[in-house]
Amino acid sequence: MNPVKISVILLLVMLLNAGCSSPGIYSALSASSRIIAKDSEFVVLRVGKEDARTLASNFLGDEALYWRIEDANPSGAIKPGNEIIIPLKTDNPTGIDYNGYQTIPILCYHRFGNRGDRLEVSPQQFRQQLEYLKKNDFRVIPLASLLGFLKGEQALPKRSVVITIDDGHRSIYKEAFPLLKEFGYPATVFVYSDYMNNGGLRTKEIATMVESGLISIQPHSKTHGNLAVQQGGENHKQYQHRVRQEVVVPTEKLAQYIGKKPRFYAYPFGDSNEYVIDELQANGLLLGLTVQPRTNAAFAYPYLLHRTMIFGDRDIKAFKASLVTYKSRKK
Amino acid sequence: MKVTAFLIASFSATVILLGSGCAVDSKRVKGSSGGYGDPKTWVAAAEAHEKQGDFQGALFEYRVARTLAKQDSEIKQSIKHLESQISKRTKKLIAQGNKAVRQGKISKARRLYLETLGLEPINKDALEAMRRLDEKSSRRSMQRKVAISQRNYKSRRKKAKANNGYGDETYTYSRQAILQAGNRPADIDGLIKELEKHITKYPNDLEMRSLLSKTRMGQAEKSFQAENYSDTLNYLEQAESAVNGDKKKLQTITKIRKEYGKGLYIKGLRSSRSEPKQALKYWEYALKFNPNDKKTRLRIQKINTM
Repeated sequence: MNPVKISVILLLVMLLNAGCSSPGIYSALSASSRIIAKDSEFVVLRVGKEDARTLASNFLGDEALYWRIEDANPSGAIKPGNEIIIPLKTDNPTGIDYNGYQTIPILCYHRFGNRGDRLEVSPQQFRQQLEYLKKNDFRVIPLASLLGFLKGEQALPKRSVVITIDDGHRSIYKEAFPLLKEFGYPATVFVYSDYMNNGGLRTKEIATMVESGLISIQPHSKTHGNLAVQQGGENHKQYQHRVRQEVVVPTEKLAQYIGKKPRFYAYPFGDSNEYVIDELQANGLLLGLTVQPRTNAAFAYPYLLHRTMIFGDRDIKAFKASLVTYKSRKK
Repeated sequence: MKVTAFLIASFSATVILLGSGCAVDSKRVKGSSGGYGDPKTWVAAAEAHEKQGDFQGALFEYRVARTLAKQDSEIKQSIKHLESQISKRTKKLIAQGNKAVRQGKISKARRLYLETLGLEPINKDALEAMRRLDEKSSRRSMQRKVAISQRNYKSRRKKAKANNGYGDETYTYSRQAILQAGNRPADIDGLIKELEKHITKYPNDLEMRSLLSKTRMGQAEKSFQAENYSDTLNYLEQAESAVNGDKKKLQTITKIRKEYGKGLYIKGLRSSRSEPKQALKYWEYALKFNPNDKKTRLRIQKINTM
């Protein structure tokens, strides 16, 4: 046979293979997967060599949405030759289904080191906990992702977990940040502004962490005084003034340092009341975090979000118990 | 020229095949992840979920089936039917939920709203209602938490202890972890572990010492009911050691010791005729609970001389 004809036939065979699976705009993107059917809601396809990230990039336009494909299919289904579905729309942004509902645990750390203080988690423990999250398919998401979820607009990956660290101790930069970078996990650090450059995190360290794209810095009051407890000798007017200062000062200071207005606030000692919440709202803060040990559903009140304290003297069993990502519904 | 004609013909054939091939393929493919390319698989799953009452799950599966078999009128009909069922049921459930709220039956209302969202996860009315309930309960539990903080603040001021530095923060969070533990009744061992850790670090926290003592007394009571007297004694000793030095609390425990001793003395009396050995055991334990009980001591002496 004429070599030109042979090449043309080969080309046709290739085109047929590719074409069947990926008509239209997808043909160039997912050369080896085969589209079985597609409409505005779903793509049903036989997987080629692509992984979830590539498929998400090809079909959802963003590889970071890989979890939407993983969550819509049985575990381990995204393998060559398997048939899978890709939902093109988010039809359940609240994560509530017939059997129960999705909840997001927010972990609350303080310091890192080996002094044996209850609030101090050793770097070895922290690594063990991050490894546990990775090995068990937990998805560590930024706190900001909760905004859309709490509005009922944005679905979150199954087994989502948020990491937060309070106070702004320097061990966050020295011990926790390298580990977070290694695992690629985002975290929110809540600092009280009087502590910054005064025993706590330094401006340079904060800048380095923010530049990494993994760390978000947010306010945790000015002095770390309890905002819900009226101090001895303090009248109501003085109390309200103190609350205002404790919210406004760190918010403005951080906006100045980071160049972005903070959006979240962690209450010192996890205590809050209506005055404090009003003050947060007046300053454009969107989430308020307590240390009430529960997880958060899509219908959680954004100004009293729950967090679980991670203590250094608790074992990995207690850590596992804090990771409640789904609650069954009582029928 | 021949090559050009061949190319044109081949291209046309390719275009035709590309246009028709996939649709034919979709109906017969059976995959290793459960036949996801076969609409029948999805219809079967949807029917099972519908039967179970999981309309949201069923609707999702019918929609995938519709993607696979666009012309199938039965699937379209099933979707319409299901959507109408969901709409009817959610309206009814929300009305019931609102009524339950008005009657103050909050748990019932919560269950009804959640059921609504289980059918339709973006139902605005149900979501708003759940938000209101969550806000209320979160505010209430925050008030309880702040009350604990206030108590703690006052007691710390009384003792004129410094209210700054890490020590204070650790102390506060350590107490919070104990006082707010939601599963306290279910996880007594966990609570005791937390209390012991806290007391080792803060031996002067009398409130936590008292809580540890009370918890140990609760364990003692359970053991006594289960007739495990050796454990009961151990728990009471631990309860005493937790409040060592607090005369009032030690008196309370002594009173409990006497009650247990009395209970065992009576048990001994009841079995003294038929089972004297058992009676002796009861009295020996009774004496351990209350070493100063003269009546029991006499009974033991008597039975030993028989």
